Amino acid sequence: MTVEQRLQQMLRELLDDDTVELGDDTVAQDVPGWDSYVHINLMYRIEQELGVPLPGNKIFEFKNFGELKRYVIEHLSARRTELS
Amino acid sequence: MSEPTKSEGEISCKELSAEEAVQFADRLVEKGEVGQAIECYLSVADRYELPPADICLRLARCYMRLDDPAAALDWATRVVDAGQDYGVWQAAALIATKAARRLGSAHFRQARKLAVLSSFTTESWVPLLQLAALRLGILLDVYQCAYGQYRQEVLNPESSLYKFAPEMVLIAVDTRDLGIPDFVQDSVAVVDQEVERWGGYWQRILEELSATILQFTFVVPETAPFGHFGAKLQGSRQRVIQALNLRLGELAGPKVALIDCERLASLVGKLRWYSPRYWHLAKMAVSPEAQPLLARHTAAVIAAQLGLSRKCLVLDLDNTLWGGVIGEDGLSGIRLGQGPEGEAFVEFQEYLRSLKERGILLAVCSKNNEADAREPFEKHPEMRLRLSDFVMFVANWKPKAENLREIARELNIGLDSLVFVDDSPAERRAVRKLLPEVDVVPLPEDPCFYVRALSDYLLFEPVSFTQEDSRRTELYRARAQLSAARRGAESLEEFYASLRMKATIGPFDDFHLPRVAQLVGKTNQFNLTTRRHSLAQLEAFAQDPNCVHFYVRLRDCFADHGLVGVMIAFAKDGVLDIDTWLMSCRVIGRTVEATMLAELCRCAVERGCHTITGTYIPTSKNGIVRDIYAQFGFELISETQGTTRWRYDLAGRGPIENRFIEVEHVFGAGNDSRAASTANAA
Repeated sequence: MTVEQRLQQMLRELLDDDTVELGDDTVAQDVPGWDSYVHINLMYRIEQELGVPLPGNKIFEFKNFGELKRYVIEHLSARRTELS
Repeated sequence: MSEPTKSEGEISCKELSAEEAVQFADRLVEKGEVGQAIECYLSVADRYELPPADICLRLARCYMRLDDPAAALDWATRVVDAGQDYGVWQAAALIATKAARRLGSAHFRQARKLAVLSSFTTESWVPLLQLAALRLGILLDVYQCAYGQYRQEVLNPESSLYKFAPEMVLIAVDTRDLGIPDFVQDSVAVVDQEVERWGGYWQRILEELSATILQFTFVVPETAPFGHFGAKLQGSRQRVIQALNLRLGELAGPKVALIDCERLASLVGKLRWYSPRYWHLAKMAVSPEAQPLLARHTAAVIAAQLGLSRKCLVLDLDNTLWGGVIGEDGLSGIRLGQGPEGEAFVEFQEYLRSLKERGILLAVCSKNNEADAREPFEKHPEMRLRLSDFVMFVANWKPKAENLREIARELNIGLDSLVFVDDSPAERRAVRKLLPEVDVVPLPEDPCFYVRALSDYLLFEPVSFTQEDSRRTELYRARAQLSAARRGAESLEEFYASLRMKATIGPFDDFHLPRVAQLVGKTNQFNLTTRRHSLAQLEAFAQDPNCVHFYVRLRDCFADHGLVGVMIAFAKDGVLDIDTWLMSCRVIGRTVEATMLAELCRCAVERGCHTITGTYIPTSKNGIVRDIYAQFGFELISETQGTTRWRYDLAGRGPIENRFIEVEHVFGAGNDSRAASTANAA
């Protein structure tokens, strides 16, 4: 499962809506139900399940889904490099 | 693994590893083969005594797709027994509450209306509570007061709380809200005052409602400004909070149940209970990772209040009450009393005896010859339990499910009053399958942890402990104490006045525009029109001579809340029309809205406007302000698809006022400075 699919899956679970499709340009307002509580829960899951830290207000600073996705991918690959 | 083809579809999932089978079933779901996927997930679930949470969740989702809410609910609520992962609980809660709504209240053992009054955000936690309650067969219809609104809700007899008419009221207020400093000079008076305040709230609620109150105890924070010295320092914050909890425990009569958050926080560790990040980010007073635990415990207390606590503990014997098998090892061969294992069994027996002494019935259900089974109770010197401690003693070779039915019948209690404890996973599994009404405690392998496993079973929660007579005495005592407390209760007006609120109001300027734009972009609840103007648009408004615009900052005796309100209106032909009116949820219910309208009236008069008009555009979040114009004397002009238009006759009714907030005006210094900096740049 790609990072993109994983994030989409998390959001689908948080909204209980399997029709949610996320593109790079998607913003929270585009998706019904994606409010600040869902946002916080998404942050929690990204940190817990992917081990990607989102310090401070970070989760609220991404302009769109693409930015969030790239941030997560960069963190995961940086960690892989560190390990190897 | 490759895509499932027709021939692969016939693969028996039983032959795959659990992980492979789940992946296989996931792909079946993607292809829309939901029924087949369910069979595959079920074959995986069957490999565990308690199926893992993610399997339960997948099954719940599949059953929802097949339009089977009863099965979906069953699997979603099994997540509660499968672990305490916040993320999975959230997902399960969504499905469970949806399924429960579909099924209707008749499907459940009990349905109740619960109001949650809190000092922090409970939006993420309440679904978890509902999930944990559904697991116990309780459907909760929940009203949540807006964040930080509990005082207003309790004190105002017209509040939404009383209109909702709940049967249970949960007061979820955390220690931070008490505002107790590191050290208080007169700690006795401070504790007295707080006890009177809370007692007063309880009394007020019980006068208005026929309800049970559930109150969180206050958690001593994880930081200790006085270190260890605080433990002996009269007036240290920790001692004040401890004293307050003790006093609340004394004051709580039969209509008030405490949920001991201080104990729960210690149980998981205070560093895990509270996360400063989630507090500052989302005003969660309990960290996400501790929220499932709090939900389970709260649901258990609710169940106890509804009379759903379990009555009888049914115990196996061999390797449950002692080590070894009495029929084979003999009296001298079983392990009890000596050595680490023997001591653990003694400790477990002592724990069982204490349960019995506080009113839980004990019964034996063992596969043994009856004479063998009785022998240790009669002859073993280390036995802590006696035959007389049991209401039923069943030792035979019949299936345990059959014996459990017999026990329930003999005692004339329901199967849903029984809890089954057995070291054998196979026996436990059989009982789970055949008698789903019976609760089964998952005993760990190591007997050292038996006591913990049983103490983590929450449905032995009692609601009272004394004999009927002494209970009556207590009842009168509590009543007397409460009426004393009521004398100290404040009125809503007194509360507002005690906050000593000061508002600073000014037109948009460079310094405040970013925060204004942020509020315009994200405020959902107190937002009349939810128009998401961009920063550029707001800058343009600020330059428009027909535009009346101002922000409000608020501070009170506790804190500076910063910029919390935004108003934008346009003047035309003597009418001032409100385009945007919003407030941060952290100051809802403090009369700031009145101050904002008062300011708008002032601006209208200044511009020679005789009328103010406004619009309410409904969204899924802003129901809280649906009637706000009516409350301030606006008349309804029109209504189309829920959107309402309102008019205030300023000339006739006079300006709106608010005596609870002192106002200070500042005038757009920022715009001037921008003019200056533009000049410099040029």
